[in-house]
Amino acid sequence: VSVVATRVDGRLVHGQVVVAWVPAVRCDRLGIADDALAGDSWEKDLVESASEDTPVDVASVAEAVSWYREEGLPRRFVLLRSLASLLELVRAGAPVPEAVLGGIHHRTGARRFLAYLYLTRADIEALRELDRAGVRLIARDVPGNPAVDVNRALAEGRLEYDQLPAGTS
Amino acid sequence: MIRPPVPVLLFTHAGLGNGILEAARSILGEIEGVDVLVGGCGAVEETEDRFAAWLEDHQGPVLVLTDLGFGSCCQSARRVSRGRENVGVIAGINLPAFLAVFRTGPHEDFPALMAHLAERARQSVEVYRGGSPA
Repeated sequence: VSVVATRVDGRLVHGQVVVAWVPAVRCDRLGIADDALAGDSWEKDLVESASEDTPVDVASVAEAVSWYREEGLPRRFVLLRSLASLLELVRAGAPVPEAVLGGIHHRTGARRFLAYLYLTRADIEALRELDRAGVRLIARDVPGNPAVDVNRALAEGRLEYDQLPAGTS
Repeated sequence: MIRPPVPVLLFTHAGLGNGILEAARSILGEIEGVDVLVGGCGAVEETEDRFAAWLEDHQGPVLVLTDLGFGSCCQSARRVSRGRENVGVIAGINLPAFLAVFRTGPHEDFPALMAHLAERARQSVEVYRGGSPA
Protein backbone atom coordinates (compact mmCIF):
# COMPACT_ATOMS: atom_id res chain seq x y z
CA VAL A 1 0.00 0.00 0.00
CA SER A 2 1.09 3.59 -0.36
CA VAL A 3 0.82 4.34 3.36
CA VAL A 4 4.38 4.21 4.68
CA ALA A 5 3.62 4.97 8.31
CA THR A 6 0.72 5.66 10.66
CA ARG A 7 1.16 7.84 13.73
CA VAL A 8 -1.11 8.88 16.58
CA ASP A 9 -0.12 12.33 17.78
CA GLY A 10 -2.39 14.82 19.50
CA ARG A 11 -0.72 17.74 17.76
CA LEU A 12 -0.96 16.19 14.29
CA VAL A 13 1.47 18.34 12.26
CA HIS A 14 4.14 20.03 14.39
CA GLY A 15 7.89 20.36 14.82
CA GLN A 16 8.75 16.72 15.57
CA VAL A 17 6.65 15.55 12.65
CA VAL A 18 7.94 18.06 10.10
CA VAL A 19 11.60 18.02 11.10
CA ALA A 20 12.12 14.45 12.26
CA TRP A 21 9.39 12.09 11.09
CA VAL A 22 8.81 13.26 7.52
CA PRO A 23 12.45 12.69 6.48
CA ALA A 24 12.63 9.45 8.48
CA VAL A 25 9.65 7.82 6.78
CA ARG A 26 10.49 9.42 3.41
CA CYS A 27 6.91 10.33 2.61
CA ASP A 28 5.62 12.40 -0.32
CA ARG A 29 2.43 13.49 1.38
CA LEU A 30 0.90 13.79 4.80
CA GLY A 31 -2.55 12.36 5.27
CA ILE A 32 -4.50 13.61 8.24
CA ALA A 33 -7.45 11.45 9.21
CA ASP A 34 -9.52 13.61 11.51
CA ASP A 35 -13.24 14.27 11.43
CA ALA A 36 -13.05 17.67 13.14
CA LEU A 37 -10.28 18.95 10.90
CA ALA A 38 -11.97 17.70 7.76
CA GLY A 39 -14.96 19.88 8.59
CA ASP A 40 -13.11 23.08 9.51
CA SER A 41 -11.54 24.98 6.63
CA TRP A 42 -9.69 27.46 8.87
CA GLU A 43 -8.00 24.70 10.89
CA LYS A 44 -7.31 22.85 7.67
CA ASP A 45 -5.50 25.90 6.27
CA LEU A 46 -3.55 26.22 9.52
CA VAL A 47 -2.31 22.64 9.33
CA GLU A 48 -1.50 22.92 5.64
CA SER A 49 0.59 26.02 6.30
CA ALA A 50 2.47 24.13 9.03
CA SER A 51 3.61 21.27 6.84
CA GLU A 52 6.31 23.22 5.01
CA ASP A 53 6.99 21.56 1.65
CA THR A 54 5.06 18.36 2.22
CA PRO A 55 1.55 18.44 0.71
CA VAL A 56 -1.27 17.58 3.09
CA ASP A 57 -4.48 15.70 2.48
CA VAL A 58 -7.20 15.96 5.10
CA ALA A 59 -10.02 13.45 5.28
CA SER A 60 -12.49 12.08 7.76
CA VAL A 61 -11.43 8.83 9.40
CA ALA A 62 -13.95 6.91 7.30
CA GLU A 63 -12.65 8.47 4.08
CA ALA A 64 -9.04 7.77 5.07
CA VAL A 65 -9.62 4.02 4.84
CA SER A 66 -9.17 4.36 1.06
CA TRP A 67 -5.56 5.56 1.55
CA TYR A 68 -4.71 2.08 2.87
CA ARG A 69 -6.09 0.49 -0.28
CA GLU A 70 -4.00 2.59 -2.66
CA GLU A 71 -1.02 0.99 -4.33
CA GLY A 72 2.29 2.62 -5.21
CA LEU A 73 2.73 6.36 -5.00
CA PRO A 74 2.32 8.69 -3.23
CA ARG A 75 4.16 7.55 -0.14
CA ARG A 76 1.70 8.76 2.44
CA PHE A 77 2.34 9.33 6.16
CA VAL A 78 -0.98 9.13 7.99
CA LEU A 79 -1.53 11.12 11.18
CA LEU A 80 -4.38 10.66 13.65
CA ARG A 81 -5.18 12.72 16.72
CA SER A 82 -6.20 9.92 19.09
CA LEU A 83 -6.26 6.21 19.75
CA ALA A 84 -10.04 6.36 19.35
CA SER A 85 -9.52 7.56 15.77
CA LEU A 86 -7.00 4.79 15.10
CA LEU A 87 -9.43 2.21 16.41
CA GLU A 88 -12.21 3.70 14.27
CA LEU A 89 -9.92 3.49 11.24
CA VAL A 90 -9.15 -0.17 11.88
CA ARG A 91 -12.77 -1.02 12.62
CA ALA A 92 -13.72 0.62 9.33
CA GLY A 93 -11.51 -1.87 7.53
CA ALA A 94 -8.18 -0.10 7.04
CA PRO A 95 -5.38 -2.65 6.97
CA VAL A 96 -3.01 -0.94 9.40
CA PRO A 97 -0.02 -3.20 10.04
CA GLU A 98 1.74 -0.89 12.47
CA ALA A 99 1.09 2.35 14.32
CA VAL A 100 3.51 4.63 16.10
CA LEU A 101 2.19 6.31 19.23
CA GLY A 102 3.69 9.58 20.37
CA GLY A 103 2.59 12.93 21.69
CA ILE A 104 -0.52 11.72 23.49
CA HIS A 105 -0.35 14.12 26.37
CA HIS A 106 -2.00 14.48 29.71
CA ARG A 107 -5.67 15.28 29.94
CA THR A 108 -8.35 14.55 32.50
CA GLY A 109 -8.36 10.91 33.51
CA ALA A 110 -5.13 10.05 31.71
CA ARG A 111 -2.29 8.24 33.45
CA ARG A 112 1.38 8.24 32.61
CA PHE A 113 2.85 5.32 30.70
CA LEU A 114 5.70 7.28 29.14
CA ALA A 115 6.65 10.95 29.26
CA TYR A 116 4.91 11.47 25.92
CA LEU A 117 2.17 8.88 26.33
CA TYR A 118 -0.68 9.41 28.79
CA LEU A 119 -3.52 6.94 28.59
CA THR A 120 -7.09 6.93 29.78
CA ARG A 121 -8.94 3.74 30.62
CA ALA A 122 -10.64 4.00 27.22
CA ASP A 123 -7.25 4.42 25.51
CA ILE A 124 -6.03 1.17 27.05
CA GLU A 125 -9.17 -0.64 25.97
CA ALA A 126 -8.57 0.71 22.46
CA LEU A 127 -4.98 -0.57 22.58
CA ARG A 128 -6.20 -4.01 23.61
CA GLU A 129 -8.62 -4.13 20.69
CA LEU A 130 -5.95 -2.92 18.27
CA ASP A 131 -3.58 -5.56 19.63
CA ARG A 132 -6.21 -8.25 19.09
CA ALA A 133 -6.73 -6.93 15.56
CA GLY A 134 -3.07 -7.59 14.85
CA VAL A 135 -1.80 -4.02 14.75
CA ARG A 136 1.82 -3.71 15.82
CA LEU A 137 1.89 -0.88 18.34
CA ILE A 138 5.06 1.08 18.94
CA ALA A 139 5.54 4.05 21.23
CA ARG A 140 8.17 6.49 20.03
CA ASP A 141 8.23 10.26 20.24
CA VAL A 142 10.94 10.91 17.67
CA PRO A 143 12.79 8.57 15.30
CA GLY A 144 16.09 9.04 17.10
CA ASN A 145 14.74 7.77 20.42
CA PRO A 146 14.20 4.11 21.34
CA ALA A 147 10.91 2.47 20.49
CA VAL A 148 8.76 0.87 23.18
CA ASP A 149 6.89 -2.30 22.28
CA VAL A 150 3.32 -1.60 23.37
CA ASN A 151 1.97 -5.02 22.38
CA ARG A 152 4.54 -6.57 24.70
CA ALA A 153 3.68 -4.15 27.48
CA LEU A 154 0.05 -5.23 27.16
CA ALA A 155 1.00 -8.91 27.17
CA GLU A 156 3.18 -8.47 30.22
CA GLY A 157 0.51 -6.63 32.17
CA ARG A 158 2.43 -3.36 32.28
CA LEU A 159 -0.46 -1.41 30.85
CA GLU A 160 -3.03 -1.82 33.58
CA TYR A 161 -4.78 1.51 34.10
CA ASP A 162 -5.04 1.12 37.86
CA GLN A 163 -1.33 0.46 38.17
CA LEU A 164 -0.15 3.41 36.09
CA PRO A 165 0.88 6.51 37.98
CA ALA A 166 -1.35 9.53 37.87
CA GLY A 167 0.46 12.68 36.95
CA THR A 168 0.54 15.77 34.89
CA SER A 169 2.46 16.37 31.74
CA MET B 1 14.97 49.21 33.00
CA ILE B 2 13.88 48.86 29.39
CA ARG B 3 10.43 48.05 28.00
CA PRO B 4 9.22 46.99 24.56
CA PRO B 5 6.79 49.30 22.75
CA VAL B 6 3.99 46.77 23.32
CA PRO B 7 3.72 43.77 25.66
CA VAL B 8 5.67 40.81 24.34
CA LEU B 9 5.26 37.08 24.87
CA LEU B 10 8.05 34.70 23.93
CA PHE B 11 6.05 31.55 23.13
CA THR B 12 8.62 28.90 22.34
CA HIS B 13 9.71 25.31 22.76
CA ALA B 14 11.57 24.24 25.90
CA GLY B 15 14.09 26.77 27.23
CA LEU B 16 14.45 28.89 24.11
CA GLY B 17 12.28 31.80 25.27
CA ASN B 18 13.96 32.08 28.64
CA GLY B 19 17.35 31.70 26.96
CA ILE B 20 16.63 34.54 24.55
CA LEU B 21 15.36 36.72 27.38
CA GLU B 22 18.40 35.95 29.54
CA ALA B 23 20.77 36.69 26.65
CA ALA B 24 18.95 39.95 25.93
CA ARG B 25 19.23 40.97 29.60
CA SER B 26 22.97 40.39 29.45
CA ILE B 27 23.08 42.90 26.58
CA LEU B 28 20.39 45.43 27.48
CA GLY B 29 20.15 45.18 31.24
CA GLU B 30 16.92 44.60 33.12
CA ILE B 31 13.88 44.13 30.90
CA GLU B 32 10.23 44.34 31.80
CA GLY B 33 7.10 43.89 29.74
CA VAL B 34 8.19 40.51 28.38
CA ASP B 35 6.76 37.16 29.48
CA VAL B 36 7.68 33.63 28.49
CA LEU B 37 5.35 30.74 27.75
CA VAL B 38 6.76 27.28 27.09
CA GLY B 39 4.89 25.18 24.56
CA GLY B 40 5.60 22.11 22.48
CA CYS B 41 5.20 19.80 25.46
CA GLY B 42 2.24 18.67 27.50
CA ALA B 43 -1.36 18.98 26.43
CA VAL B 44 -2.07 21.49 23.68
CA GLU B 45 -5.30 22.51 25.40
CA GLU B 46 -3.50 23.39 28.64
CA THR B 47 -0.92 25.47 26.76
CA GLU B 48 -3.63 27.25 24.81
CA ASP B 49 -5.55 27.98 28.01
CA ARG B 50 -2.43 29.60 29.49
CA PHE B 51 -1.93 31.63 26.33
CA ALA B 52 -5.57 32.73 26.32
CA ALA B 53 -5.20 33.82 29.95
CA TRP B 54 -2.12 35.87 29.04
CA LEU B 55 -4.06 37.56 26.24
CA GLU B 56 -6.86 38.37 28.68
CA ASP B 57 -4.33 40.07 30.95
CA HIS B 58 -2.90 42.13 28.11
CA GLN B 59 -5.49 44.12 26.24
CA GLY B 60 -4.44 46.26 23.31
CA PRO B 61 -1.72 45.45 20.80
CA VAL B 62 0.57 42.64 21.86
CA LEU B 63 3.40 40.85 20.16
CA VAL B 64 3.82 37.08 20.30
CA LEU B 65 7.21 35.81 19.22
CA THR B 66 7.42 32.10 18.42
CA ASP B 67 10.12 29.84 17.08
CA LEU B 68 9.05 27.37 14.41
CA GLY B 69 6.43 28.60 12.00
CA PHE B 70 5.28 25.01 11.59
CA GLY B 71 5.54 24.19 15.28
CA SER B 72 2.79 23.74 17.79
CA CYS B 73 3.58 27.00 19.63
CA CYS B 74 2.94 29.03 16.49
CA GLN B 75 -0.13 27.01 15.60
CA SER B 76 -1.53 27.53 19.11
CA ALA B 77 -0.77 31.25 18.98
CA ARG B 78 -2.55 31.55 15.65
CA ARG B 79 -5.49 29.43 16.74
CA VAL B 80 -6.13 31.30 20.00
CA SER B 81 -5.63 34.75 18.46
CA ARG B 82 -7.84 34.00 15.48
CA GLY B 83 -9.78 37.15 14.53
CA ARG B 84 -7.92 39.39 16.99
CA GLU B 85 -6.19 41.98 14.84
CA ASN B 86 -4.31 43.48 17.77
CA VAL B 87 -2.39 40.26 18.40
CA GLY B 88 0.69 40.00 16.21
CA VAL B 89 2.43 36.65 15.88
CA ILE B 90 5.92 36.51 14.40
CA ALA B 91 7.54 33.09 13.88
CA GLY B 92 11.23 32.44 13.44
CA ILE B 93 12.38 34.45 16.42
CA ASN B 94 16.08 34.72 17.19
CA LEU B 95 18.16 36.95 19.43
CA PRO B 96 18.79 39.70 16.85
CA ALA B 97 15.10 39.89 16.08
CA PHE B 98 14.21 40.04 19.76
CA LEU B 99 16.73 42.80 20.41
CA ALA B 100 15.22 44.72 17.50
CA VAL B 101 11.97 44.97 19.47
CA PHE B 102 13.75 47.34 21.85
CA ARG B 103 15.57 49.27 19.16
CA THR B 104 12.62 50.10 17.01
CA GLY B 105 11.68 53.70 16.54
CA PRO B 106 8.15 55.08 16.53
CA HIS B 107 5.81 53.48 14.02
CA GLU B 108 2.59 54.73 12.56
CA ASP B 109 0.65 51.74 13.71
CA PHE B 110 0.87 48.18 14.93
CA PRO B 111 1.01 46.56 11.46
CA ALA B 112 3.96 48.81 10.59
CA LEU B 113 5.74 47.73 13.76
CA MET B 114 5.12 44.08 12.90
CA ALA B 115 6.41 44.53 9.38
CA HIS B 116 9.53 46.30 10.65
CA LEU B 117 10.32 43.54 13.13
CA ALA B 118 9.75 40.79 10.61
CA GLU B 119 12.11 42.51 8.21
CA ARG B 120 14.75 42.90 10.94
CA ALA B 121 14.42 39.19 11.69
CA ARG B 122 14.97 38.29 8.04
CA GLN B 123 17.94 40.61 7.75
CA SER B 124 19.57 39.24 10.89
CA VAL B 125 20.80 36.09 9.19
CA GLU B 126 24.29 36.67 7.83
CA VAL B 127 26.76 34.26 6.28
CA TYR B 128 30.54 34.37 6.53
CA ARG B 129 33.12 32.12 5.00
CA GLY B 130 36.74 32.15 6.02
CA GLY B 131 35.89 35.04 8.28
CA SER B 132 34.58 37.25 5.48
CA PRO B 133 31.07 37.84 4.16
CA ALA B 134 30.22 35.01 1.78
